[in-house]
Amino acid sequence: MTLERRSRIVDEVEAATRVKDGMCLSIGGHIMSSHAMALVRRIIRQGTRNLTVVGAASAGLEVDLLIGAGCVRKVVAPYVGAEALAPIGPFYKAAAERGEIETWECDEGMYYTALRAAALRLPFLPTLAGLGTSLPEVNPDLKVFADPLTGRPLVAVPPLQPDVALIHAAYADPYGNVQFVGSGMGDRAHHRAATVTIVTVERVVPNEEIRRNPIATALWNVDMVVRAPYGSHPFQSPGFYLHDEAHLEEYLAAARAAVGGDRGLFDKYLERYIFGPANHAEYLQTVGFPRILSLHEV
Amino acid sequence: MTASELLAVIASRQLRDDTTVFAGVGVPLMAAALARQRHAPRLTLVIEGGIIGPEIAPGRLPISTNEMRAGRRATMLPAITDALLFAQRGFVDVGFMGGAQIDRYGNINTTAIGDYRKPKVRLPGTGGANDLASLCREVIIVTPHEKRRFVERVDFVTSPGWLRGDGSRRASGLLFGGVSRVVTTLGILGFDAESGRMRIEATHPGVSVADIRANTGFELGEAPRIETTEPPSEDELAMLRALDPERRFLG
Repeated sequence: MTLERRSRIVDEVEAATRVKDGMCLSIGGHIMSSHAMALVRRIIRQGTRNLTVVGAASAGLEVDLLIGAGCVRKVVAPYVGAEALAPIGPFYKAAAERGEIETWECDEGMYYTALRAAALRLPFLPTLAGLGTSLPEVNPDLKVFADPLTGRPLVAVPPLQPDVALIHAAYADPYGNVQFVGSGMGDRAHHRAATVTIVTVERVVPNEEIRRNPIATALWNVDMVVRAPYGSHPFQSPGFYLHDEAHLEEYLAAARAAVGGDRGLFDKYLERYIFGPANHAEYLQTVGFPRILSLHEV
Repeated sequence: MTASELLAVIASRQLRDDTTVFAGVGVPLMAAALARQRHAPRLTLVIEGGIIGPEIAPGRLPISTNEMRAGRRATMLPAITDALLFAQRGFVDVGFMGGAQIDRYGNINTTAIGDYRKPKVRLPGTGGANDLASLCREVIIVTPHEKRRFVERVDFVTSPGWLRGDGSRRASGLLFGGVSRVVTTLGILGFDAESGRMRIEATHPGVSVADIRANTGFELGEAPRIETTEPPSEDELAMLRALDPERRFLG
């Protein structure tokens, strides 16, 4: 007897309701790529508050946007910015300087070590990188200790378990088998550590297509699959589209004005791109096909 | 010639052929791409977002360490955790990075100016910089030479150089690696092997030792023999400018 497997496909509106006030939320990708923006926008729209955001290592302006929209209490990330476009996120910088958010200071290695400790259900894992730095002085969760075998110093990093991980990928089948184009960056670590994983994808594919290339399957058993073509916009999705630099500049101008005391542009940004559109499809309509279709490489 | 052009050309010359360099986006990545085109065609680039062996195309410099453009013609796209593991394993010869604040022992601060809890200026954070500084076999820093950057003691050790000198890096548990050189807009600085203190090793043409001292917030030593660098050639500058025709990084 063959039983029909349970489909894990939901839409972005329903998926986002899984994220509640006060949760620890991780967002995958890396700086300019692969953030599950269809869900991030939805979380802002539904008014979720007091999140601990485990930004990607390293994180982009999606974390900055969540801070600007008032959703964030604490940030866990080794970096929040847009590199050549903005060395640091404007809202992140201002909120850290004004003491409006907590920061769990770490480097990329510690960050992934913490996620791995959670996945392995260990009380800590050791790292080398971090020794000699000021990081353990300002992050009381990090402890320098003597290795019981050699007596040498190491840094103990406690587990970091997101309640919900948001990941954006290329393909998934309806049963939660996920494949990336490109490296998948640090997203495997989020999925391994988190209690619940929600994945937005450029394309939902049949199970047969996953089976044709099983070595490419990076995540399995994810809890929800959301069909969201262009779901990483205004960031890149490897193999599909480049980041939207004009949109990111529009955001940055609005964010810089807001931290300078004039929230007018930022409120307009939120209204136009987040509170106005009823769903991801309407968001894409607001951005417009000419812009969307211009985001290709060569 | 802009400051970034000078930095990129001098930095590119520090890279040897048939080695592996972990490069941050901006001047370090441009310098590595220039080295591959000129004297180090077998140089392997590693980029933080999980990219090994890319061939950066002129006119298509990536603006971020994980961009599709950064991965052009890569030989491997490992997870970021593996990119860091390869550094820790000893596969990466040189970590190539910038820094907001740097002190006499080559320690770098990219976290906060002033008290961390009430920062005068919050900086971007470590990203992967501490991982590079702690784990690569050798670290080369590339930075504009300004007095406010070159301080006696960094406010926050984001990325360790020689810590407090006199073997303190090894004593801290970092058993390998360390910063070898600082390439600046005024010259090339190195470190005394015993004390771990920064010293002048070369000046750029037209720059004096006194100029370097005047732009440094602590006392610098001097190498036994101070060289003068060769100015960037027309050829080097032409290739560099072709890499960044929009002058996004070259200024």
